[in-house]
This record gives sequence, structure tokens and C-alpha cells, in this order.
Amino acid sequence: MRIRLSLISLAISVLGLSLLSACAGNINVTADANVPTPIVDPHPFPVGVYYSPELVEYVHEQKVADRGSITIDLGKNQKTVFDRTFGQMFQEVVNVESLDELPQNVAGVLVPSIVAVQLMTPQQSRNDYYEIWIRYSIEIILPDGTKLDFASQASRGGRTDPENRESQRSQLAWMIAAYGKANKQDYSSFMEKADSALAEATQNAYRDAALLIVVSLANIVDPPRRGDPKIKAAVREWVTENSQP
Amino acid sequence: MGYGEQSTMKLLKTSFRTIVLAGVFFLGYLVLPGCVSTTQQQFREADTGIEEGEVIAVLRRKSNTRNETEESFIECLTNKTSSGQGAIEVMSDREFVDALFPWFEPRSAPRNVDEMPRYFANENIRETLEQIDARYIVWVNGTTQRTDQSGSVQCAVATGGIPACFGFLTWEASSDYEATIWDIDRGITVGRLSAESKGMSFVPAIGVPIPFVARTQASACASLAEQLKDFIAGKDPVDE
Repeated sequence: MRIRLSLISLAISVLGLSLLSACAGNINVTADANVPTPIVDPHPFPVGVYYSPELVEYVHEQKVADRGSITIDLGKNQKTVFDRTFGQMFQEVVNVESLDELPQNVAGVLVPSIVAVQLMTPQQSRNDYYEIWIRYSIEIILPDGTKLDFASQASRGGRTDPENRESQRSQLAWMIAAYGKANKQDYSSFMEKADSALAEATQNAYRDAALLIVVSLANIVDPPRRGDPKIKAAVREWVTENSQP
Repeated sequence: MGYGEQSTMKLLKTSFRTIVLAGVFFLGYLVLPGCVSTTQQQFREADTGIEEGEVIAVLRRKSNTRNETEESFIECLTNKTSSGQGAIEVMSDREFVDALFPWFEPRSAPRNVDEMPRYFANENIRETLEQIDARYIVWVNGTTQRTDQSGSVQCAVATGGIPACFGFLTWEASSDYEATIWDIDRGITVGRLSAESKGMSFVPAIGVPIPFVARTQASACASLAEQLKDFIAGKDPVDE
């Protein structure tokens, strides 16, 4: 009898502890890379892509007041996100193992990396949304080993004011600020499922990153593009140069 | 019976009472409805109809700003429109935006119906819409918000380990949604539907809290779904 009661009280304690941990414990987020294939026409030239160990092993951990810490394994999805996006944008994508040996039959090697990540919970922002910002940089390394200078490319694309050109800093990476959010109202049937909401916000940020790459690279007139016009001009100029027969 | 067993029994009794209390609360939440009133409006700009095999896409207006239509409302509208009498085949928001990726994402989606022709000018978008045989796009805008709240319910564990709640809590909720229907084949807006549900919820508690929750969002969803089925089929409210 004593053993049975002890087991029941232990079970109740475990249940209570798990409920408490769901409210205020550490959160580990596992998000799928739910990025569909974009409906765009590929450019008629091949590129290489290099995934650094820092990118594919990237784990973001952030302390959040009243929540403990939130950990998101972002690295494991990066290859899927970029392979699916670049794979549809170019005639062929060559996986580059090392930057020491650059392939010569491609227009350039794309090197994505994560520069910064920021999370915001509804408790912090006092609104209904779990939000995530992922700031990527994408370098384009040309076959001769030099990096594409986006600032000078943009200036050649119409900005010819010499004073401006002098003051322009060299910009060796194409910066992408991807954003994703999820409404906590969609995850609060009984107890708020913060991990699922953060997973959806992360998936939406992956989609946003893919979108920003596509609108910058796609050779389209419509629909309207929304993004950074200066960087888009630079990337499009590189695309146009390499699309010449 | 030893001291350890007595305290364990006490813990079990308290847990049992707490579970019963929580059970009564959730049973009340599920069973007892608050008062809801729904107003619906319809503006028809062109005739409508749908052929067998054609589908409609129910989409929520997206933006990266804060007030976005809840996904749960879109799911409810999709389910109710595609079932029951006069059901229409509906493509869900997720299926549609995935098929047309990346042109209907929060950052890239049309901000208003005037922008739609520029989307359909894109050959890839047009071809995909033909493949999925989508005839109408239904853009849904709106949210559910609590407009007023007063009173409070306080719960405590009284002598003998019995949990009890006392007080009176009340709030008003308003669910206001509008659907704009776009005919893909003709490239025009064919009409606008709206449903506005208001309701008051209250939770009296004398020992046990008994919630009477006004399900305004469910009411607005049911109203809009019925309107949508009739509208697409070409029926006007005066026909009935």
C-alpha cells in the first residue's frame, strides 16, 4: 500500500513538474525547412555553393526573462533552404567542398552565412507574436578568387556621382534580413505551445530568406519586387553579365 | 496509517478536488455558450458561378505588421465552406501559397486587389493557377479582439486543502471579418462579404467557476462560410 501511494505521489509530482517546465522551462526548437520550390525560370549559367561548418552547425541560444533559454538548431536546415532556392534559380548548382579549390566552370561561388539572430516572445514584445529575425550575408566569390563588390557594382548600375562613389564603402556581402512570426493565438488551445510557435516563426523566416533571394535574382518585370533596391541592382547586374551568350 | 501515508492521502484528495474543479471549468467552457449576435453584409459587383473541378482559394491577407487574420479562422472558414450543403472545393491557404511560392508570402503578396493584375501578368503564376484550376481567390481580412473586460475571479486553497474560486469576470469580444472575392478568369473583384459577431462572456464563481463563453469567432466563421457558399453559387440573400 505504502509503495503504491508513493508511486502515485511520484507520478503526480512528475506531472506537476512537467506542467511547470512547459510554462517556464528551457525551450528547444526543432523547425523543418518547409521552403517550396520557387516558380521562377532558372538563369542559364551554373554557380557553386559553399556551406561552411559554421553555417551548418549554427545553433542559436537566447536567454529570455521568465522563460529560461530558447535554443534553435538553425544549422541543420540551411543546406535544404539554399539548395532548394539556388537549385531553381540557376541552370546548375555545384556543391563546393573547399574554398581553396574554386571551380572554374561557374559564374561564382555563393557562400551564405548567418550573421545574427534575434528572437522576441509575446512576453517581451507585449503583442501576440513570436518573432525571429535571421540576418544572412551571402558572398559571391568569382572564379579568379576575388569577391564581388556589391557597392561598386551598384554604382556602375546608374549611381555615377563621383562624391558618392568616393564615400561608398566596399560591400563584399549581400545582406539579407529574413523575418518570421507566429501568432500565439494559434498555439494556445490549452497550454501555450511556445516551441511549436517558435518552430513556425523559424520556418516563416526560412521562407522569407528564400523569397528575398528570389526577388533579387529573378529576371522578372511583374509582380512588384520588394527588397533592398541597391543590392538588387548589384546582384542583377552580375546575373545579366553572366547571362550573355 | 503512518504520517507519510496520511500526507500522501491528503495530497491525493487535494489533487482530485483540483482536477474536478478544473474539469467543471473546462466542461462549462465547452458546453455553456455566452450571448453572441452576428451581423452580415454582402455587396455583389458581378455575377458568379463555379463549374465542377474548379476550386476556390481562401487566403488570409498577410503582412509583416502585427494585426494579421488568425490562421485558426482561415482553417475554420476553409473547413466549413468545403463541407455541408452547397459545399465548394476549397484550396487551403498553405497549399495555395506553397504552389505559388514565393509570390504570396507576407512580404510579396498583393497589398490590395488593384495589384492583382500585375501578379497574373507573370507567366509562371498564370500557368500554376491554370494547373490547379483555381477560379476564385477569397481574401480574408479581420481579427477577433477583446474589447472590454471587468471584474475578477480569485482562487485559493481553503482550510482542509479544498481549492475554491470566488468572483465575477466578464468581457466583450468582437470578431470582425471581411472577404473580398476575386475572379481569376475575368480579372475582376466580384463582391465583398462581411460578418461581425459581438458577444459577452462571463464567469461567475461561487466555489466553482462556471464559464459562459461567447464564441464570436466560431459564429463569424459559420456566417461567412454560409454566405460564401451562396455567393459563389450565384444566390443572393433576397433569392431565399
